[in-house]
Order: sequence, then C-alpha cells, then structure tokens
Amino acid sequence: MASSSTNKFVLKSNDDVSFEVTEAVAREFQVIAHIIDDDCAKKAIPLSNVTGEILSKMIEYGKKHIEEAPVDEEDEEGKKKLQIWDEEFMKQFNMEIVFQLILASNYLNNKGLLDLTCCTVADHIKDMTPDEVRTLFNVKNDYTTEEEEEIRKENSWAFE
Amino acid sequence: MSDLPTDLLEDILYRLPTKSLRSIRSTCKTWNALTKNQEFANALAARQQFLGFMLMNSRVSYLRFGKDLSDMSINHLPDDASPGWDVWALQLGSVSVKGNTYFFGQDSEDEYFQEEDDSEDEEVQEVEEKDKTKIEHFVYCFDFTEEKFGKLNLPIDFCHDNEIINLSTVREENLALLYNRISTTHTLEIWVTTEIESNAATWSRFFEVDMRPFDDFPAKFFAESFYVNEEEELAVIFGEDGSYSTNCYDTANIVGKDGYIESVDIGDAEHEYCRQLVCSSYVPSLVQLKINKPGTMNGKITNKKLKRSKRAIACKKCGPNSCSCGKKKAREASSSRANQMEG
Repeated sequence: MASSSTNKFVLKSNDDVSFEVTEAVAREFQVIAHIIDDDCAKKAIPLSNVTGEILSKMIEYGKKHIEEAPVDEEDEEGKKKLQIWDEEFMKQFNMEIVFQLILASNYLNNKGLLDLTCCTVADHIKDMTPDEVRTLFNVKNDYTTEEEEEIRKENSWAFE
Repeated sequence: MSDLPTDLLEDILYRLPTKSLRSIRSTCKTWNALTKNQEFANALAARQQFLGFMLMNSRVSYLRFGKDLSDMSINHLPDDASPGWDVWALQLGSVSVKGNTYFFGQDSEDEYFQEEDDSEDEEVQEVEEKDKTKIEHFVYCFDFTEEKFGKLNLPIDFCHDNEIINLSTVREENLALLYNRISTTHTLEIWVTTEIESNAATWSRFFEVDMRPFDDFPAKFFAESFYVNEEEELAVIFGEDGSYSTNCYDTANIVGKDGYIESVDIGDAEHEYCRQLVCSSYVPSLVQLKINKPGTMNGKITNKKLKRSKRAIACKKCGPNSCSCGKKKAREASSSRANQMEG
C-alpha cells in the first residue's frame, strides 16, 4: 500500500475533463477501486455518468476525507471536525447539484457522500408543503381533491 | 428537477422526521405507497425509540419519543380520528396482536356521559334510558402501519349491567375475549379469533361453561384477566372472589372446555376496592428466564401454586368424565381450603 500515495490515476468525466488523483483518493470510490484491483486502470478511467463539475466536487470531498480521516474509531474530535467540514461543504450547492451528487455518489459508490447528500435533501424538504415538494422533485399530483383530503385526514393527527 | 430512482428516493425519505411524512404522503400516490411499505416502516421503526398510546384525562393520546429521548410529544387524538367512541382502556388496558393494538370500547354518546355526572336530573335520565339501547360495544384496533383505527364486532351481545369483558391473546396471533355474565346465569364464555385484521375478525367460541353447578367456584366472581392454553383446551381466569361480605379474595380459576377444574386462592385482596389482578402471557423464546433458574425465586407460595396448576392440567388429560384422581383431589384440596377460610 506504500505506493497508494504516489500512484496516480486519471479520472475522466463525460464532458472530457480529466483529473489526476492519488490512488488513495481514487479508492474512496468503490467502483474505481474495483477497476484498479482488476488492473484495468492503465490509462484514464472514463466515468460516463459524471460531469466535470460534479466530479471535481466529489474529488474535493474524497481528498478531504483521506487527508483528515479520524485516527481511529475513538477519535471523536477528528470525526467532529470532519462533520463540520461536511456541513460547510454542502452549503455551497443548490438542490439541482445535490441531486446530481446523489446520483454520482451512488454510481461511484461512496457511502459517506451518499449519506451526506441524502441527509441534506431530507433536511431541506422536512418543513415543505406538498406543493413545494412536488415542484422540487418534479412529481405530478395524481390525487383527486377527495383523495387528497382523505390522505390529509388520515395523517393529520399522527404527525402533528 | 430530479429523476432519482426509487431506492435513492427512499434513502432520502426515511431520513425525514416522522412529522414530515404527512406532506410526503400528500405529494402523490407513489410516495404515499412508498412510505407505507414494510421495509420503510422498519427503517422508521429503527429510528423511533418509542411509539404508543396512553389514556390521559379520559382521552386517548398518542405518545412519541424521537431519536433523542427528551424529544417527546403527546398529542390527543382529535375527534375525527376516534369518531364517537370511548375506550375502556383505563379499566381493561389494551392487548397487542400482530403488531396492532386492540382496546375494548363503546360508541359514546355525550348525553350518556353527562348523565353520569348528574344523575338527579330527570331530563338527562330520560336520555340515558333512550341511549342504553343504542350504545354498541366494539373492540377497537389501532393499525400502526396504516395509522388508522378499525372496529371489530363482538361475538356476543354485551350490555353494560352485570357483565364483564376482558381481552387477552393467543400466542400474540389471535385475540381472546372473556365474557363473564354475573347476574342471571353466571356463565363464562371465551371466544378466540380465527382470523384477525385491523377492521374485521372471525370469532370462534372456545368454550362456554355454566359455573353454577360447581360449588367451590366463587359464587360472586369478577374476572380481571385471563390466559388461554389452546393445546390443553383450558383457560386460567384471574379475578376477585366477592362471595364473602367481609373480605374479597384473589383467585386463579382453571376452567376447561368440559367444565371447571380448579380454583386456587391467591390471597386476600388488600381492601374493598382491590387492585386488579393482571396477568399477561409470555411468548416463548430462547432467552433463559431468571424465574426458571433454581434458587432465584424466593416466594414459596408461587412454587406451590405452580404445582397445583400442573396437577390440574394432568388431570384434564385423563379425560373429561372419567377423571377420578386429580379432579377429586383438587376438589378435596379446594374444599379443605374453604373450610380453613371459614374457620
């Protein structure tokens, strides 16, 4: 593993932006780690589902989590520091970008970033009205007025 | 804006606080269904520390503890969630079958309850006369997955006077109902469900026993709780023996399909309005119970009672009519106890 800090790989987005990263950062993404393990990573690794804009952010996240990784399970201070950084990191994005980050971190299989982005969306929508949620997720209201009233009634007391 | 696949959408939704689910369910049919499937419910349940009901100031309330235990909320159910009924949970508690909670209750009429406050009022008494025929009794079910109340019909005609109803379960899969008529016939009836949903149940009569011929059965018996043993075809009914004017005694009565088997005196009830005897069944598991380890129970009386019950059950195995050993002995033991009591 000594080589993982010196070994470099090139990740290439679907709009032809290339990023050179260390092996450790590349391995933050499970899918890329498999490609490396299968020895298929001689040249640039093409990532057909990720744009350069999103990939650069994901690499930034991966780098931070390699560099500032908590020493061990008991390193509460280290964990806290990273958590604060995560929160700050997410603040720069609008929801459109967050959704793309969710898709990309699912595709490249980075559980930490997937958790973080899903939590961000949940936090964003938790006080929204049904209409606001529909707009955000581009969901069509398929209830009739009566049905909607029924659903509202059914849940009115439980989740006050 | 988003074209998230279902699994990712779920990943987001199950992180929402429960109170946000109302909005989510109103969004569209797919999302409504999504937040009601079993997997989602499990994920939610794993986050929730506690969900339950309590009876507070005579109203059913919904109690919830969030992730953080100090994050507790109590909400009274508004009237449209419990339309026109009154739960008797205070006296009877509730039982849990297949994850849903069942209460005994009745359709409530406001006038009827006013009458209780002021029985001198002639007008209201008239209302009472009128309503008594109208009031119907049901078993109410709260379905936790649907978050809805359902209503089950009783297998018997229950009228308020001199009749007692108790609920219990059979292996937490079926509901059992004990119907105790005190006044005229003094019969004990037990019904169990063969199928049970949150809004419908099929009942089958487990047994009906006229208790009058059995001399050593308390003449005045008030059932308080019971459990059913389907295999042995018997039930143990706990309650208060109110036959003696001076004292009341707590008794456990083993009653089989073919009749009464044995009554075990548990002890004097502490005062006139004695506390209810409450027993609840234990669902067998692989966990080693402390009470099964030798030397951990220090109440000798408990051990004695256990032996007696065992004998009575063994006796039941001899057959209903041909039993000449255990049943007779049980009777003797029981009448000698009665003698001791009188002396």
